[in-house]
Amino acid sequence: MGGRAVRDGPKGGGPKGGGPTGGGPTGGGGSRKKRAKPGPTRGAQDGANADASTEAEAAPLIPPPRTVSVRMYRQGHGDCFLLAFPRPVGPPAYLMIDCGMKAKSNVDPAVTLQDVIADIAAATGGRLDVLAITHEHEDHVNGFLAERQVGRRQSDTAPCFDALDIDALWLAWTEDEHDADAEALRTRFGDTLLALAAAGDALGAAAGDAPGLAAGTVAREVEALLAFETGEDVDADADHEDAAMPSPGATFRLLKARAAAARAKDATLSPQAALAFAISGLKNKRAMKAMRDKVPGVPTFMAPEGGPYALPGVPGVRVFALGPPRDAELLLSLDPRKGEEFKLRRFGMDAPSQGLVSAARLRFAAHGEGEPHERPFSLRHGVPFAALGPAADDGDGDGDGDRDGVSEGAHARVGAFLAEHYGSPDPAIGLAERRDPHRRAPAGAMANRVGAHEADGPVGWRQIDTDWLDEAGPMAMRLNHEVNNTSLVLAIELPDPASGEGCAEGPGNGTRERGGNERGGKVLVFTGDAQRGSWISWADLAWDTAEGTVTARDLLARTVLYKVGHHGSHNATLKGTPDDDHANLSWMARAPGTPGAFAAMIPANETWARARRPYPWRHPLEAIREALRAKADGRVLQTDVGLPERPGTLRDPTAWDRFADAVTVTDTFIQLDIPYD
Amino acid sequence: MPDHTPQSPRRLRIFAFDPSLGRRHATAGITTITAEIPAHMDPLPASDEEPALLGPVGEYLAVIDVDPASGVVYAPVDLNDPRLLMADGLAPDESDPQFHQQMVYAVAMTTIATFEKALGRVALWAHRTVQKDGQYHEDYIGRLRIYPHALRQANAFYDPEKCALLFGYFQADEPPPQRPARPGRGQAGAAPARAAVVPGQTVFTCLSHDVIAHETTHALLDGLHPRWAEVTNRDTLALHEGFADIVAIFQHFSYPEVLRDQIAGAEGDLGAETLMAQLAQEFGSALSGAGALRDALGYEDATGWHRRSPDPRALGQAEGPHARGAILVSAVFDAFLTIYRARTADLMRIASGGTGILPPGALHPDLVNRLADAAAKSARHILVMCIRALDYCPPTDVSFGDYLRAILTADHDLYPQDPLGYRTAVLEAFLAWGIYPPGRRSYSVKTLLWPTLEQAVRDGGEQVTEAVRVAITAALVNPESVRKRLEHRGSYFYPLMDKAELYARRILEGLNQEKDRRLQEADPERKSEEMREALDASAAVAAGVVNGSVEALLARNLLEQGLGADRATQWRVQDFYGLLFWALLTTQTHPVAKRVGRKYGLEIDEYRHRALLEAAHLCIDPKAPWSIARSPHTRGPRIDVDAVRVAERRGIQGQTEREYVVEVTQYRRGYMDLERQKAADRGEDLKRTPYVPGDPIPEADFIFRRGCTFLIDARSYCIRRVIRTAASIDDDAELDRLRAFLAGRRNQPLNAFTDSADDPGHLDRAAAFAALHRGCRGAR
Repeated sequence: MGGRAVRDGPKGGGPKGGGPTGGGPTGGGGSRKKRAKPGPTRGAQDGANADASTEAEAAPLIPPPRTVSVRMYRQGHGDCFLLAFPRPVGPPAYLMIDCGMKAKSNVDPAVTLQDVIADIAAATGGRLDVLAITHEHEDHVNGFLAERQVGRRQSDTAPCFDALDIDALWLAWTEDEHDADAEALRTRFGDTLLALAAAGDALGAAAGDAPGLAAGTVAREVEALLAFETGEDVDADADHEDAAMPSPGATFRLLKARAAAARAKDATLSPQAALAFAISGLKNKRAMKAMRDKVPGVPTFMAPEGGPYALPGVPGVRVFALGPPRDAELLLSLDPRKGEEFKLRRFGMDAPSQGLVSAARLRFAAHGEGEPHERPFSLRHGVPFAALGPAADDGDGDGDGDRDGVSEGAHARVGAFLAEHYGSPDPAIGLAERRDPHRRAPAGAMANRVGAHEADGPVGWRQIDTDWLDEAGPMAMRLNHEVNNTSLVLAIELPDPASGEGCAEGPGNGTRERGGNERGGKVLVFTGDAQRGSWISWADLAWDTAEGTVTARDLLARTVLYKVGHHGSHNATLKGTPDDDHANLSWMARAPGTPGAFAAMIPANETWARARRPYPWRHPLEAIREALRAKADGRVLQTDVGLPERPGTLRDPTAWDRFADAVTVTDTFIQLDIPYD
Repeated sequence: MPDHTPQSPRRLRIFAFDPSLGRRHATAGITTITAEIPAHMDPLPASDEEPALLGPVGEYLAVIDVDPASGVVYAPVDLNDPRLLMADGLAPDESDPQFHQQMVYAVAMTTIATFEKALGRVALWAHRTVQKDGQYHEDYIGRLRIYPHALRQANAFYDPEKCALLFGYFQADEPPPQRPARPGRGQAGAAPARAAVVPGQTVFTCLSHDVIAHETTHALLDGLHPRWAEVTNRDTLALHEGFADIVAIFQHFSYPEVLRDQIAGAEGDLGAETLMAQLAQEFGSALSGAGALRDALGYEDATGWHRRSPDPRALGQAEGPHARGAILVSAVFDAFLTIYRARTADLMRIASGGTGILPPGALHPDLVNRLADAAAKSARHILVMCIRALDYCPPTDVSFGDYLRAILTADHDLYPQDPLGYRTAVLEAFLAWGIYPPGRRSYSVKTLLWPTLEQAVRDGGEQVTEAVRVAITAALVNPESVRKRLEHRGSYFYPLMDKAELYARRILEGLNQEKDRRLQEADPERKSEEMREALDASAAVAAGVVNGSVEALLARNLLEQGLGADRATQWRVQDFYGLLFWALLTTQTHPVAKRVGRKYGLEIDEYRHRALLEAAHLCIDPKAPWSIARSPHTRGPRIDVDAVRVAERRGIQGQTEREYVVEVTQYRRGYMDLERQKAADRGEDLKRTPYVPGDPIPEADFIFRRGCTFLIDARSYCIRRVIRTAASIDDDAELDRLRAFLAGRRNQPLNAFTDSADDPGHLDRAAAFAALHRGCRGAR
């Protein structure tokens, strides 16, 4: 029953023009024509007034009775979802989850974030009941700052989200400024960010202009990861083959400049306060703030210990927050590994970055911001690299030894010693030159030492200038994963088919009306980018409700839609068996009736991700996609693919046909209609 | 007036453990000890005009104190500064980087000296393999670099790529929990616990005696056995780790002053033993990141500290190099205690009036001194036993069981009699901890000795002929025969001789330079004519530089230069002898002899020493799987001579025992995919078979090696022992085992999805060490 009616809803009623509906969607189940070609949908529009044309085209999203419509938007490599639930009376309830993409990751260059937001405004009539933001990463939030052209001049822009009124905002408890744990996390985030920015700069400086140097590669990787955290379109590295690759040190320069600007405005700011100010001005932070300012009232900070939460005006729908976990250890547990690299005690207490953080302060200090006292020894014992200068003469003449501080003559002596045995650590001399594996010791350096050997001279390959920064790469990765783990994980329970809620009853007063039905409704799971620790924490979750106890295991068992975490990367979907005591993919869709209905959505532009350099991103990981295909019998939707080809062999061909009929694909979105029953 | 009497050692003060002891009143007395560096390794200046010893940069080590994280270089200490010479170096001081330089130098040099003394030859670092113009060659590295302040992490490691030790420093974050009082300890008993660390203070890993000794040992072991850093079974990295701990702990114990205070504080008969175990454990727990050693020797509960009794199943359950290494340490420690007990039984009887029960109260100071000396001697003994065993191991894929056999054989061959039962003590302790080579018929000292050549050949069903016994090695003393043999080698004789010439020329240059250097450095007053002549004589070989350099070199045995050898020359000499040994090992029948033989219907072997090669499990079958590397010279399976060393030991009667240690390996390309492996075995991925030199060799997923170590008596030139890896290079079962092991390593725990094409299963050398030491913040 549901299947056919569903897809007629939006399309039949919608003035889609000559778009993808041209193929007659009401026809036989086997229709392949929903794979839209760019041509028909985009029509004759040109880039300049894309918004207008999309708005004109887009139709209100009206889900069929007892059916939720789920749209995965196709802006690029990132998340943007719109869910529409029918209400007993009045317009449907709209729930939006995230809005963002990696820069230049568009699936179709003609479909922009602006188009997507315009489509949402049109589909919802300009009103969202709830906006949920899973976590603060560029590819989940940068849409909130998107601007559209409103006049002729380039500066005539307005926020795209002006077109939307939002009634309520759902955030994870980690965004709550009154929560002590969340505050500790924020401090940790800020410290780590500064450390990484400085490390990126130091590595970049060390690598100089030479391509192919390990330090340069690490520097670029660090910057690329930092871009997730900051959301800034930092100046791209023009020389790099991947134009979207930020140049090393970009984040450092940005923070430094903003901190300096802040202090120029207000001289009473301490260096630390100025840096904190610079962090708060980062794009991701502003995106979050923009939404919090926009939505009236206090956001709902969702936590596993709270809930279930109601979707306003939709009886029978309950929303459970599976994550982020409250347990610090799990929150910071990232990879599916047994041994943890670092022992963690409390938030911020044992940041892996300690050494880098203090060195970073030193670097910010050297550049005008920060504190200057992060040295292991009193300054009189050492000679700063900058003061080494050219090694004049043998320096032995000073004869004062260096027991009482380092005098001028001793400087020269240290310089000469270093020139003979190490080479120059002066960053002014590019590391490239010093690190050249084929570079030989300078003639004469060894000449006066009989019995000396080239490898013991000032050869680049034995220097250690950047070894202390080697932890920057893992640390950047770690920070990225930590923020992923703060993802709000939503399990949205649809009304129980047995209760008949959701359409038959009048405007109910909430969701607590169901009887003691054991079975419960279908569940949609949106995990954000939650990683291992979050998944592990779900197993212990249980909610006592008026209808009885609900466990996470139970919710996962009833899951019919899994929004795949982190574009399908290796650490955001756990594998295992139903008997395992940690939540994993096999826990999903185990309840009667669900296996044939289970589908997965992977928000990923795989072509773009695999073209990343120097290390391609395996989004999605082939092993995960295969596991999902096996589990869902082929019913896996991916941003850049649309409706997949019908697999040659199917366990349940009718389930596939139902699925294919329930999917609508346009250039802007992929929609799946999921009946409650 | 310079002092010309036999040179005294350089004495340098160091922290006995680390600076924290000095912050506790109870341990303040044993904070500092003085290390002595043998004069032949680092001679004291003969006069005031002697150049500075800045850095210190000496013959073996270069301490370079750059701190890139702080953008500072710390002024190098000059150990030849007369003020420091007078005062045994700088006084221990945490806040002076120059003392840090002195301490890393002193402890690392002491560790090197321990090795040299045990092995009777100069220590060499791992060479560097560089690829130039498509050819691999090896560069000599004279000095291990030490960077005392390289990192801002609670970490210290040996980096084989840089041939350097990198030490980090970090801020202590919280005080370690207070340990409960110990049992059986008197008022004077000093707790060596590292409790006195103030939160926020900087902790330097380069000020911990054991961390320095441990990392230096990694470097020494890597220089000796580069292949041991290849992870081919559960024990390889664990042996690296456990061995480094053993050296650190027992080197520490060999300072009597460290133990004296501890023993004085111990009450009762067994108190001292418990205490030493506890002390060893505390030393060790600073080393092993995950604190694996923290409870290997004992554990703590409400009633105090208890010694852990050996568990033969522990090894089977232990995973990871640290946990397994800790079990090796435990076994060696048990053997040490047995030896200590044997050495002190008489003292205890005297002190207790025969009752075996000591009177209550403090021990008599004389007894304390004797006990401390006995403990230090036992520690030195066990340390030397453990180090000597390194020459008695297979060249690759070593396991704990192999190591046990090595300890027993090395000790047996030096001291055929074992009146004090040291070998039994070791065997007993290892068996008790479940360490033994699997699949033996019986486990006794005798049956676990490595096979002699006779046994190995007879095991292969052949008879030992005199030819086999001395054929190879006699050539090492009789250079003319080498040349004669080499001349029969046909087409590849000339390239080979060219290479030998090149090697020889380099060696001669080295010897000449060495002579010049010694002349230069000698005291001007002593540069008499006689002196010059003596020096000339000592480098007599250099005379041969004019012509016929190979002959000149072959005229004397350059391996036997002992501890006075120039290290760079010694390194080249090892290469040279490797080349010769290879040529002899692969000697083929003279073409004329073959022709004649064929004429008379006789099948004459291609390889003259087939019986020996087979006894060594070396594969010479020309039709062996094509994944086995082929020699460009013989066209048969390739045989690499990895090392030729000489080991010198002093026997029980004071006689000098010398042995050559020759390591031979073969390798084979391994693939994770079985079909791919089969294709490679059939040679389908080669351009053509038989392999033609110059054809590209396909990349492998992993390298499978087998090999053999020969021990050759330096007097009789008989092969004494043949130490083989399990099975030979064409054994598919062993190849499968390695593949399964690597696959197991690669597999993450069960809850991760992985793509099978990811990550090569094996770690490269650098990654192996880095992984071993990541997060080594230990118990601090």
